[in-house]
Amino acid sequence: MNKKRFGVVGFVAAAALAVSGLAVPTANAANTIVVWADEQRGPQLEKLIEGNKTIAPGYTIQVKYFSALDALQSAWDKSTAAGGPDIITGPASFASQGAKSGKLARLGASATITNSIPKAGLSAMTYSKGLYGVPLDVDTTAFLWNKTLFGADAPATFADMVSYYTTNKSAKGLTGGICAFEGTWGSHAVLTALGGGAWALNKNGTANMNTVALNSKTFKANVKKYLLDSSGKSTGFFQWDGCGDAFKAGKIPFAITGAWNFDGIEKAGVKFGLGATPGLTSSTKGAQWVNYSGAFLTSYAASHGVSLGANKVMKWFASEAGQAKMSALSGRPPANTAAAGAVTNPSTLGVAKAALTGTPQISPALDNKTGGSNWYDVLGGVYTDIFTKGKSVDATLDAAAAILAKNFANYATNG
Amino acid sequence: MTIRTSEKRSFLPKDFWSHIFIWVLILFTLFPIYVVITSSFNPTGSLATSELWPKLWSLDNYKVLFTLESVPYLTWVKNSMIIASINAVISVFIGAASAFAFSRMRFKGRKFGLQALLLVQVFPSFLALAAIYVMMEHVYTVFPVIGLGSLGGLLLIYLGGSMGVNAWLLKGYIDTIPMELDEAARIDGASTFQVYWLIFFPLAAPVLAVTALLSFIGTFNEFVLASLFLQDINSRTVAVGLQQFVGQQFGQNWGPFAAGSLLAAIPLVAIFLSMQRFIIGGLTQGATKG
Amino acid sequence: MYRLAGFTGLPAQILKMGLMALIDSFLIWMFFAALAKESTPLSVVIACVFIAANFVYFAKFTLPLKFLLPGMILLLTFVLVPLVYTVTMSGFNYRTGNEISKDAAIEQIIANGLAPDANNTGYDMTLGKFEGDWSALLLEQGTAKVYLATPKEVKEITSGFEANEYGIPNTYPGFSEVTPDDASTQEAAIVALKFPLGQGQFIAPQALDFAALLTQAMSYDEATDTLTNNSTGATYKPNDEGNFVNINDPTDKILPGWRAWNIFRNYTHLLTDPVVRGPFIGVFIWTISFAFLTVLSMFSVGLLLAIVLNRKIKLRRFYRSVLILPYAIPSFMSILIWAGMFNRQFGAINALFGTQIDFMNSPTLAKMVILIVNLWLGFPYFYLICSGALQAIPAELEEAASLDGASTSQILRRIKLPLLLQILSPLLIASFAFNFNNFNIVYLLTGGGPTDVLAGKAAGATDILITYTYKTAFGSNEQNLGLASAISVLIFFIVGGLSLWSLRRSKVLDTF
Repeated sequence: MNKKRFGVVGFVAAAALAVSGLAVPTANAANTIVVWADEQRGPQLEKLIEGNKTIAPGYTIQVKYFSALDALQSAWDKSTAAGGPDIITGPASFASQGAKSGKLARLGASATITNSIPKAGLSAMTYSKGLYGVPLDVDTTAFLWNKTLFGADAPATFADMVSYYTTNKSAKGLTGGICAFEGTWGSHAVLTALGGGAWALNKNGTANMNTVALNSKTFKANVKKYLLDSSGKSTGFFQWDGCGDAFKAGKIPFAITGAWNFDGIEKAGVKFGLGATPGLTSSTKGAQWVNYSGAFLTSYAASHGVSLGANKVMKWFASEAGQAKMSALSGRPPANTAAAGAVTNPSTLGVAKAALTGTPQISPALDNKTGGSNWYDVLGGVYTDIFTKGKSVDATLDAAAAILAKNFANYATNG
Repeated sequence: MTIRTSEKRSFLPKDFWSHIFIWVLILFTLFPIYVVITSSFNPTGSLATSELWPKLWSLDNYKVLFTLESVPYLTWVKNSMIIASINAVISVFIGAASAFAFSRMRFKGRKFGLQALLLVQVFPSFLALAAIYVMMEHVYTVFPVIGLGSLGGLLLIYLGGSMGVNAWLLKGYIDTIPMELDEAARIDGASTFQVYWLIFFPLAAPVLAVTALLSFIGTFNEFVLASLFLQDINSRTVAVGLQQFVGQQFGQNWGPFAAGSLLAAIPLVAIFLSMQRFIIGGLTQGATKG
Repeated sequence: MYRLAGFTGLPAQILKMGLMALIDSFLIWMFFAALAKESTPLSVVIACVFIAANFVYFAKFTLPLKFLLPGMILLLTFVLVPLVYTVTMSGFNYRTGNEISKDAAIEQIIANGLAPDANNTGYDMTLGKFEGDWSALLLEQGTAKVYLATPKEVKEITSGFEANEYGIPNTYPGFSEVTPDDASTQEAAIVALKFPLGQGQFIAPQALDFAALLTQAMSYDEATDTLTNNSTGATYKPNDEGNFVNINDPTDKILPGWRAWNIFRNYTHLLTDPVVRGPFIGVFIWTISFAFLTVLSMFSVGLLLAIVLNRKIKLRRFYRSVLILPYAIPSFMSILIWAGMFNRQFGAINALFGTQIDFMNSPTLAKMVILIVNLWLGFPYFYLICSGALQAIPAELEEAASLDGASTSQILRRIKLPLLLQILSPLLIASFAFNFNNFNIVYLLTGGGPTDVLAGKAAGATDILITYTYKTAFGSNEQNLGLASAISVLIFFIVGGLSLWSLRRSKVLDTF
């Protein structure tokens, strides 16, 4: 038995040694720049830069994209230098997260970048005075009105919208006045139109993080005047939860949403106009959140030995030519000033125009929850209490402001 | 002899209450599925929630699945089928073998092993994905074939969890198979392996079929790990591939997702139908009567 | 006589030797491949698997292990290792800002510490070699001065060079430009280039055609493990939380930090932090009640269905196929559909009854909604396992009992039910454990709400331990994975203890 066993072992060992001469298939070739993107930008980038040899001569560009933003974020969180990307595209919030964790490398803010991209876009990519990414395009919502219901021209003021709703509510079976498709995030334009909002703005347009605009006297008064009836209950004008289908069915005349929904709305047969949210007077407008998505250089690029090449790709991302091409495929307004000026697609133009009246979204401040909950949850609680439960406007807004003040103060000191 | 008086004259048809109960359940079951079906025909891409009979019908969503080049739906279905069937088969074997060992054999550490298996399933896995990801990243640098991004690596991870789930699932059923069968076979000179293959396996067929089916469906619909793992668009499974319609921050397009899920559910139901034969059973009773 | 499977004697032996030879040679090949790629962990694992496999399958006394080994190997690798990883991480300060290794953090800090000068001076550059050294021809942006930079010095040149159409100098006697292909293979050397300007300033290439004037603000002394800020003179030493902090001001810490061992601070934080601790009891009670109630409801419906469909009633196959459907549809879509259906104003349920019931904002109703939807999701599974279990109960027991005069319901209660529970109790316990940690249903359906945010509450009415943990440890741009691991371990002790206790009580471990 032993002899036989040795025989078997000997045979096995010989076979294995012979087989081990076979090469193991290798992973990535050297000088490959790996770009990660989500399921929307990924296919677009694949068309534009995959395998391209002119953007970064001597390097090969490879685009890898995930099936959803969540998957991208999840993989990015877990990645290490062994398998991580050299460049990653994603929402602006990646900048502060990546900078803090050391996964993103600082970009040299060369003159080409600072001259071609507006300050607001660059500041969304800045953390602690360092620039960590290049803004690619603008992420914002616009105001829509149902032309068949309301008419060809936009409503001039907020009051016009409200009076249209009250007059036609029973006749046309309206279930709401204005629908914020994206819930608390998308409803910011309504808040600002009525004199509220997250924080007050300084004269030069920067955010004053020491103030909370949500419980200002004007806002309280306007909420009571325009959104509630005489007994303090909601008139049903303001909708923020699941009202999208009603707008598509023509039961709500106005809406606030972004380009991602235009297709579905058109397919539902609604003819709509695009613009900025009407304010209290014909010259004031509501300001919605303007967010950016960007491309970021990772610190893994240096460990992979491709940082110089990756820098070149980042330059392409910031350039007019690159942004124009990306905008043509994605339909979103580009961040690069020159490219933005050359846009011709009407709905992209509409959204770009709306972005001009918006306010920069400072995600780290909105996500901060030192006071107990972040901006979105607090706002959700405010809406539920005031419009669904009919609680006192003053008390609710004051309670909310107390929490938000802590959040913003913490952001101001810690970033 | 007692005369059975349990037969009552009844005005209701036979099994009336059974049918009522089932139909209530069926309505309960089908309502959301009805919404899935209508959403799959809804070109606006929303989950129609308020209208019972939608106004818009179109085949757009189904067309998207088969015409867009960024949506290789059939490849995804093929990948899902392959990985789900291999996982189902191998995990049934692993589960059956483990359950057989735990049920029939006495060895040191048996109780400990059983308890450990249960406990391991119970651990909340916040960081499990992080650990597995880093591990497989490393494996990729040495063996790309089973590393991050490969279907082989994903299969291995699914198999890792299978022993815990299946061993417990099967052990209870195996305990009910009488020991006399084993003993009879051994008297005839069978080894443990032969008892396992020739006696136990056929007897446990209904339960093994159920296990295989549950494992198949579970793998088919799993997307959290798979979406992290499978990056290349042609290696994705159906569940992952369909995420691209609804995984964005805004602008979810539920139409193609519903359509894709419905089409993928058809083979699942078909497999279940074909397995009904096993689940009906009768094999166990035949063997013990002898 | 040697036996394997259905074969006996020599064919069996050959089959076994052949299989083992195949597996062994494959493992040996993998071992050498791992060695070739210098991967110690993989080589060690493969070696262990090799030894274990050969030992188990060739020895005589390892019979149970022969059945258990494949499953065990997979379990150890893919379930146990992550588990151990989680437990280990609970002792680390692992959060946003403290994620990478210490070396990587130091590298990043130095890289971030390269500060441009006040004018953000940049240079358009042509990179190449001069007298054997790396060097560059630079055109200063703004002033249009031209320089020749070498690792020894940077000197301005006014003649002798030729420029391209943009005015960037690209030829000079003795200077040869490097091609992009060459440059791409020598990145490491290029990235480390510093052309000195004196006074701590230097010019460094930022890309193949651009360089910037930089000062090294931070320097690291490996011997003393200190960072020094060259412009302010402040010194930073590592604290025990994974950050470099100013020795004069512990609140001045530098990001990024690294993952550091902070002993049990995550656990003490758990027990002392009122935000986490406060709602804990309430959430815990609801988690247990939810898990229990949902298993009870799913089991009852599943069992009833199994009993009904066990009999030969009409349309049995049709019913079976329809009732399996919830299981075949991806749950995360169905949960969102249900969530939409329960919407107060626009949902189908309210539309059906013409009401405006606010399901999602009432604590009791929200809990009911979760139970209903979980029932919808889970009863097919319970139907399947109950029907399998009913099949496993020998029919002669039922026949014997009815011969003795027992009615159907008596048979059910006295004979079938206890046997069923015995077969299924491990599964019931496992289902309880699963629902204890059933993140998906709560998060997708109600988000854990309704939460009275404005009253300062942190936990919602339907929050279970795991969703509450998720909200505490994640979100707000700041993830705290160390804390999440600590909470996971805590949850594990609770639910693991409960499961073990019920397992022992059910005496399943002592069967026959």
